[in-house]
Amino acid sequence: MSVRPMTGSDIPAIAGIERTSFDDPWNEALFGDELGRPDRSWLVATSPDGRIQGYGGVMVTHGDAHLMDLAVEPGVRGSGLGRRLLWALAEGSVALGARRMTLEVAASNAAAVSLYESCGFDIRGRRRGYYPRTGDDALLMWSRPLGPHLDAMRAAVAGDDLVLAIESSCDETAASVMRGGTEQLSNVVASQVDFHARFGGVVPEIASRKHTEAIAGVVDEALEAAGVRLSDCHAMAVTIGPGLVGALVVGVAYAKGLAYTAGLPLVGVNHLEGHIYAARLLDPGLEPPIVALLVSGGHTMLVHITEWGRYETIGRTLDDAVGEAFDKVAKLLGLGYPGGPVLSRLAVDGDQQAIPFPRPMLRTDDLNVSLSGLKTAVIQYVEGERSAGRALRLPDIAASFQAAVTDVQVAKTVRAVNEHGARAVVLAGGVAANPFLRERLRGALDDMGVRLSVPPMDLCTDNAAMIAAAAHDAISAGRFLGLGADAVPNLRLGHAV
Amino acid sequence: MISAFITHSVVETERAGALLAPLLRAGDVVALAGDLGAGKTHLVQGVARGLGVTDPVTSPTFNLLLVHPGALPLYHFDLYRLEGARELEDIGFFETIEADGVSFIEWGDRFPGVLPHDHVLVSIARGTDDERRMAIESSGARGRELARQWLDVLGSRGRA
Repeated sequence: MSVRPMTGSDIPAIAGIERTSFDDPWNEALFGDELGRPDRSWLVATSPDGRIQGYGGVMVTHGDAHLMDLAVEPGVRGSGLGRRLLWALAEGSVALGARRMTLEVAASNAAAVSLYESCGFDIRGRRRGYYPRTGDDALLMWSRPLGPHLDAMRAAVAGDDLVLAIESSCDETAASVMRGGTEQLSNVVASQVDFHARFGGVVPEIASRKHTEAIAGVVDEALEAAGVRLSDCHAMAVTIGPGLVGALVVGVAYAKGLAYTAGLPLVGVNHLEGHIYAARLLDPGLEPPIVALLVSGGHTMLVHITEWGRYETIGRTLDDAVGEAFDKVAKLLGLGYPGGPVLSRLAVDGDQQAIPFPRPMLRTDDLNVSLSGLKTAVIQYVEGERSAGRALRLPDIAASFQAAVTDVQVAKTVRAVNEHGARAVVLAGGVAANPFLRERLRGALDDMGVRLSVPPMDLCTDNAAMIAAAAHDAISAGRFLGLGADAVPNLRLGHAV
Repeated sequence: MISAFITHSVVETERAGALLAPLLRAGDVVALAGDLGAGKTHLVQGVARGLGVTDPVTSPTFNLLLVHPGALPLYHFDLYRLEGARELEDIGFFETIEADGVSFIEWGDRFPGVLPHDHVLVSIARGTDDERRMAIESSGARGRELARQWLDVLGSRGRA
């Protein structure tokens, strides 16, 4: 697709798209009247063979650009064309002296409202019954300052964008500065140990209060370690979901505050997408189609990545997450909580065939997994041994349990690769640290000639570098947040941010 | 008031939850107790189905709270990971259970005195194989009403 200024000969094609797009369309005379006015910028987007697929126009007065019209041919909606046109119009607006852009959109036009929101526009008002034909309300929307957004997009496309990212979706408070989506200048994760040192006493283990206490220090440390000032950055990125609402809101509020005071664009990142991007950080040759196995304390899912930024969840746990099952079995065996890593170390000395634990869902005809039945089987086994007065052979239990979990994960991943024709697999999330799972998966995929990409350990657990990496692509594509944006605790992959 | 019923499979446990769903009102609190593997999440999955929740309902152990939009918002807590009752403030527990939805609280018996006066407590004990005994205690006028209605519909459909 390319974008160029509108000419008189484009008008019949434009008027055709206009009629399919609006209840109250502009006619050809109205478009004609716009041509050649000095305070206007009208652009058309064309396909490679020169056919017009979309168009839009702005009028600039007193430093504000008014978006007068923007429409995309029905067949290509949702392809990113509207977003590209909007940012091209923003560039034209800035050239005519505009700082910000405003527009009215029909409240019922959800796709359009969502496009503008995903370009960082906020809803600032509502005009009741604005559209005479339909009686529909108009939403009045305003962009944030256009210049910094365009600068950030240009820098990202050139691979030179400096992004400050914040992650606070669960237990970790983290910040990172990254250049060009790959070069980590800093990656700070506040651990429990840091807290005891910093606050000299007992701190709440979990969630919002801890994040509130930590976030300013963590962000300052990330900037300092990177050797940059906030004003050097092109954009702020933040995890907006999924996660614990009380934890997410701390990061989102802090990022919004910094973005507002520093005049920086704001980018919202899906935490799960971040985990997938962690793999690309040290494996730049990784290219879709990819199947990602995301396994952590809170998530267990298989994701099909058709292209970067486009995800389809193709399988998931129906009950417990893998990390959670490890932790709970570890606790049952008296290994403490969280005890997943302890359990996997213990398993090294055990016989994985000692106890025939079930492989739930292995034979089901889908990509979902279920772990609660396996957890119950372990509990029943342990109780049986205890009531029979036998000593528990912990390494054998650990090894047999781990093998049962791993067999199902590997089998479902292989099935997903075959079903979707993936050429690479990403193993991500905290449980990607499990050496047994890594080895088994690598073995199975090597046999198929499929590449396995596993992020280094510090990028498997929650961190902000992965959020910065995902933000880089969002900025290149012109996807931003407005300051009215909220955390989305149950955000799913594949939903627009 | 304490009563009990028995389910014989995961499917029956879920069905018992689905039968509770239409009786719920905004502000209702149901606490769930029982060891690992007792079936607490399965019961909530049944409630979710009854409320028309389309989200996948998985264990909230790691996230502490998962919110599911349905006929009423379903707030699904898990207090397993919490170390002390003061952490309930951190996760917005008290605001949430008084909000516009229904709250199901796994490991809801962990911190005595934090449940509101009106609540139902379901204590699940494992029997042989897939059998589960669910003891229902209730507190407060609304809690007692909800428990009685639930037991009525369970009774009228045989054993869950």
